[in-house]
Amino acid sequence: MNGPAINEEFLQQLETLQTIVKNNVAGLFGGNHQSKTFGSSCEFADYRDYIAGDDITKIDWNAYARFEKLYLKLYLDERQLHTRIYIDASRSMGYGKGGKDIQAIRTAAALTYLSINEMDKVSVYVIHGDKIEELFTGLLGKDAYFAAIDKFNGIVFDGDCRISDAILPSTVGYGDGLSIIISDFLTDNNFEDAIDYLAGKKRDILCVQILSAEELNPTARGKMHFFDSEATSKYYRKNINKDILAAYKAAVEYSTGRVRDFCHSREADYMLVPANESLYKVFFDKLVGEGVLK
Amino acid sequence: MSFLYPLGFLALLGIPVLIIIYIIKNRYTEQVISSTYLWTLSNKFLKRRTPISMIAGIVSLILQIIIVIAVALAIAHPVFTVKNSANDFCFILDGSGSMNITYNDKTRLESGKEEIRKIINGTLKGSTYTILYADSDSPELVGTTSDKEQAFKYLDEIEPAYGNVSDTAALKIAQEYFTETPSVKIYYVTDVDYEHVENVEIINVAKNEQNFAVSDVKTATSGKKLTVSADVISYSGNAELSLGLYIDGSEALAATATVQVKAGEKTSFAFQPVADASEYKELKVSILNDDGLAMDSSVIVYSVNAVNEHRVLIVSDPHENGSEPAFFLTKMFDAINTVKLNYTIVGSEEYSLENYDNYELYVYDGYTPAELPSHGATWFINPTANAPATNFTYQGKMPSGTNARLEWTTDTSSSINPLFKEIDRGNPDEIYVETYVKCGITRDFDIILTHQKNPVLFTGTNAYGNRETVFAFDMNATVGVLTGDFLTLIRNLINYSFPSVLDETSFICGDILDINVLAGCDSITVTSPSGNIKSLDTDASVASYTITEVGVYKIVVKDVTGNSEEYSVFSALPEEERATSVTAQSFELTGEAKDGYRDGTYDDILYLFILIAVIAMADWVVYCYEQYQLR
Repeated sequence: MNGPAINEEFLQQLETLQTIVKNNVAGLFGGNHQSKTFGSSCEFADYRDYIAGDDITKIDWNAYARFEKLYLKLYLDERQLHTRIYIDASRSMGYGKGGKDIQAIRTAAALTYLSINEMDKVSVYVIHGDKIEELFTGLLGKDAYFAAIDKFNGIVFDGDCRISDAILPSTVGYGDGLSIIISDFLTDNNFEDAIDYLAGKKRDILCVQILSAEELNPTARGKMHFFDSEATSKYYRKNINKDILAAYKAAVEYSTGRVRDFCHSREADYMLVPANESLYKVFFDKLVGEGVLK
Repeated sequence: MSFLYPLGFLALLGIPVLIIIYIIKNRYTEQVISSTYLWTLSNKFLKRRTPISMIAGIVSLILQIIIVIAVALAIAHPVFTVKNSANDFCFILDGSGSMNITYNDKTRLESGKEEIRKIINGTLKGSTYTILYADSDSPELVGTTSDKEQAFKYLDEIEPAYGNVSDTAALKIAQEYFTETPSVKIYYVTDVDYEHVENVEIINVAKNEQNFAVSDVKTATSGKKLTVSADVISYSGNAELSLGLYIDGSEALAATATVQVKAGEKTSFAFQPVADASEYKELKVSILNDDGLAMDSSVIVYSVNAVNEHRVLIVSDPHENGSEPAFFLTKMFDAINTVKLNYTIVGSEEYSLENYDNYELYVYDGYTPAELPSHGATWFINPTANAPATNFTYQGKMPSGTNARLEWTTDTSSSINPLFKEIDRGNPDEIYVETYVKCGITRDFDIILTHQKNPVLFTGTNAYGNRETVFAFDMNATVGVLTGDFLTLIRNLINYSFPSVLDETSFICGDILDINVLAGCDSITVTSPSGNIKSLDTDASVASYTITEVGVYKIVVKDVTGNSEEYSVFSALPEEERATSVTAQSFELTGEAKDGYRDGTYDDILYLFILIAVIAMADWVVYCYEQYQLR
């Protein structure tokens, strides 16, 4: 695998990045992300008339001296986000030497650290079939991160993955942060409903599509009989020649384009990550370039 | 259709073997991949396949199966029976000398053999072939066979003959064959066209030949320029001929000419004059076009002057009347153009035999030497005293003012006749001399002019055997030197004194080549163009040789001292033999031809091998295309 693995040096580099939040932050706890609601941060926002019962410590006495009327100073609120990461743990992600599983875990771990660094809560879920399994929830603080990171190694990539069926029944929060779906999206199963659902919950959405180098540029030639790792009943049998390779390239373009276009139509972010690409490039080039991070 | 080796179809077992190999070799490689989603999705983007492309995967197998079938068929060796396609064939091959004429690097005989091979190849099995070779007046049977290969061997056995064969013999044997088997198809392969043909097919192998000839090469000089002209003729058809002129054996063209000639018509032409070539030794005029009969495409002309060039010493003093030494004589020498005389004049005071040796002719004009040269001819003009070894005596000068009219001899002996060549002996010019020297003759001399029976001009030999001529008068004191006959006589006397080895250098094949045997000649050998060497008899005064070949003959004359001279003459093809295409009256076989066709068989399997090769190539192309598709 190219590029740096997750190590202390890379994590320190990650600390220079910051998540760009698009939706209004509606977290329960104070945090590091500015909210559009008024709160108790140092950031002045506006004045309003004093109403009995208001905190008198926030009355602007300078304004009272000038206008002889009580005005209350309003400040912007800063909230804590809850980043929820969904990892596709189907067999297609982990089969063979493609390295999609490793890339998915590394990406998830890096994103987790990024959120932790911003004093956000992070929950990581693993999707098996139509079920969501919690890897850990509400993780907060670097100590907790380093204590929980080993859990990533416990993810078993097996079975299939039905993203919408898994996410729709789950608790996804409302307007309180970023939802990240990491998958290869190589399925006819519905994923659009999940994105619609998350968008409806006012969550920022990032879809990370991970494809192996072999899937992007297949090297197989001649008469091949491919079996699907998730279901051997699915197979593909052909003499792979130039025509078929051209059609395959078109299929890759179509498949990635379909996910990308749908995400963009829902104002969700999308990023194609080759399994052999370095994390540094993924985070510092692509995510920054896409405007997900800054 | 039948098969020679039906067991060959066992090779068809190769087809199931091939299919099994194909199945085994072309098994799909099974592989589990993370997801077939993208591959399956790619079907949507695959171009619609044509019906041909749907069998593209097995095209190679189909081609290989066809190859196996073709191989099995080739081993089984199919034999097709074709109705009424076989017959008896008789080929009579002309073996006359003209069949050895070469055209396009091939003799007519070889062309005839090829024609026969073509006919035999075009026949089917079941035919018989009889080959006769008419190389003499009794044509020989080369062989009869029903096997094509054997027939070809018979043809290969035929060697060129150079006989002078008439077609009567061929006609006779063809008639015998035809009478015996009226159904036989007779071919007469020859180089003659016949106006009437019956029951025989004439194959004229000379039909398409081009044939040109050059003849009558003439030369003319103007100053140092040489103009060469000649006649050309085309025996085959109208043509544009390119001609080249080569001088003195050089391979570089001295001049070229292009001449339009009509068939059968002689056309004269001349090359542009060539500078500095008047004293050529030999020249060659050649037709540069391809020619079926190359023998008459070139003519070589050797200069007679170059052969007849002589060194002459004239011992003479200025005349008492003040004229230059030997004035009249030298003028006459200059006027004679049949020989070239390089003469040197010395005064009697200066002359000595030791200092002036090695000349071919010594002329003593008004002077008598004390000693005669032992070699070379001698002329005495107006002798003044006796001289040793001359075989004549000086008896004193006749009184001045005699004004004698000299009498021409009436002797017609063979030795004196050459001296009167081109002189009208019936009415010769009259010759008067003021005075003359009376001479006594001690040996046989040929007397040409006399006065009152006194020999005044006579020829013979001296004591050394060399030719001697005596003019017993002063040339400055006679009007005779101004007559044409006297000049002709001087020329004949020069020829007598220098008996040239060759009088001509251009001959026609069949001519007699006369070679003059000179005094002291030891041997004469003649080498023909083909390399045959013949020694001629040198006892007679003239050695004769019959020219039988076309080309350059080399003549080597060796004298008793061991010195030798080489001469060349050119022999051209006789005009009547220059035409390569001859038309004869008829070649007719009497009798009624019968239909002797029978069923023939065709068992050539070359087409199967070609089919196999083509399909194998196509299979290779398909393989290459598949490999290209997989790149």
